[in-house]
Amino acid sequence: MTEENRAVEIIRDLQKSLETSYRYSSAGTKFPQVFLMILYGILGVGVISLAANYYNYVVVSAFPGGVEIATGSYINLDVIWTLYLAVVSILVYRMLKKAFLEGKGANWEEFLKEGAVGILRIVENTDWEDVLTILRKAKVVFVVLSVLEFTVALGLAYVILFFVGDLLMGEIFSTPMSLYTILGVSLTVIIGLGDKAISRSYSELWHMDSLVAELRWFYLEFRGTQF
Amino acid sequence: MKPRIWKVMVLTLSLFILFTFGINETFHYYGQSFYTAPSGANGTVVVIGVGKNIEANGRIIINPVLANGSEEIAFQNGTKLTISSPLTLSFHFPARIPSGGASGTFGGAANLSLTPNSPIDAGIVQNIPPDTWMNRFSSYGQSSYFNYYVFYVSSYATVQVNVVGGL
Repeated sequence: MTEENRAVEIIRDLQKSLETSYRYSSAGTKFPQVFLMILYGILGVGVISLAANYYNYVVVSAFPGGVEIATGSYINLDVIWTLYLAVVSILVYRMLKKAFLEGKGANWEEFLKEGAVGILRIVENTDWEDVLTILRKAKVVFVVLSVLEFTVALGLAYVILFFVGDLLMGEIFSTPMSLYTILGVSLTVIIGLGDKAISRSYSELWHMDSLVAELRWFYLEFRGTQF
Repeated sequence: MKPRIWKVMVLTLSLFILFTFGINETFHYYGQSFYTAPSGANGTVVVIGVGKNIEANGRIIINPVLANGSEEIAFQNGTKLTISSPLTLSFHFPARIPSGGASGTFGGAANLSLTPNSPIDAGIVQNIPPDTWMNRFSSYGQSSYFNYYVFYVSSYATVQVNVVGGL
């Protein structure tokens, strides 16, 4: 491979990395709406609780954990919460995913066909200050999304283990299981099952850091160079 | 979305969240079964107390054990009932807003545990003479901070008390 071809491949790799960063940055633009949606979700929990409490008040039910639908028959509120939070999580996920997929980076393919001359045109025409800003933003978005993803996975594991624990301990041994125990087991399960995802996230974060550092170095060099 | 509109929405939603969760926290549930038994000619007094800081709906089901004949129920207003089948009673206590004032526990003869944070409780006192029970439990009608429902059961019965209160 010639030096020129190698340079073209490096710029192509850079384009791919930047595209991913642009996608994260695009998802980040939806954070205000996501935040509002989460607030709406929390408000929904309060309103549903209020409705259940008021209904129980009217029918004089003695079971705060459920809604009495007939004498002695209850709908467990845990089931309602699980379904409700699942719907909110799916809506948030869809909103972020749509924004992520809509994010587009620079398309340098036409320039890259021209070889070294195209690379010089890319270097000259790209607003590197802007690219660095987007990269920094993408890194923050990536961290926030990772935390959200971890929280959703933890919540899902918690709900599943809650019902499994209730079935195992409650039905078989008639002993309630501590919620802290379920949380601890959920954490262990998520860390255990998600070890590859965690290491992938770590390397992606490291890659973004390196990209920012290299681009900053490149940008400073570029500013001091005259073509 | 403009930052100012976003901030207003966050603030508004936060206030609504605070309001709904605050009202939810005022709801209290109580459910308990008691067993009444005679002691010679004496009977049992059932006392249900509810803080005046909440509205409350209550239901009492008195299920008489009729092996010893009829069952007599007496209320503080002087009403007397003789029952031979389960009797369901309902009551409603309105809230007094603002209600402030009560800060400690009040129990009285039935040894209730009533506080603003735990405003519903019930209890029974056994071996009470039928002709003096009203005088003995009259103090329950004089509390400024709690509403009471008090009645007398002459013989064997199961008394199921359910109360739900909140704003």
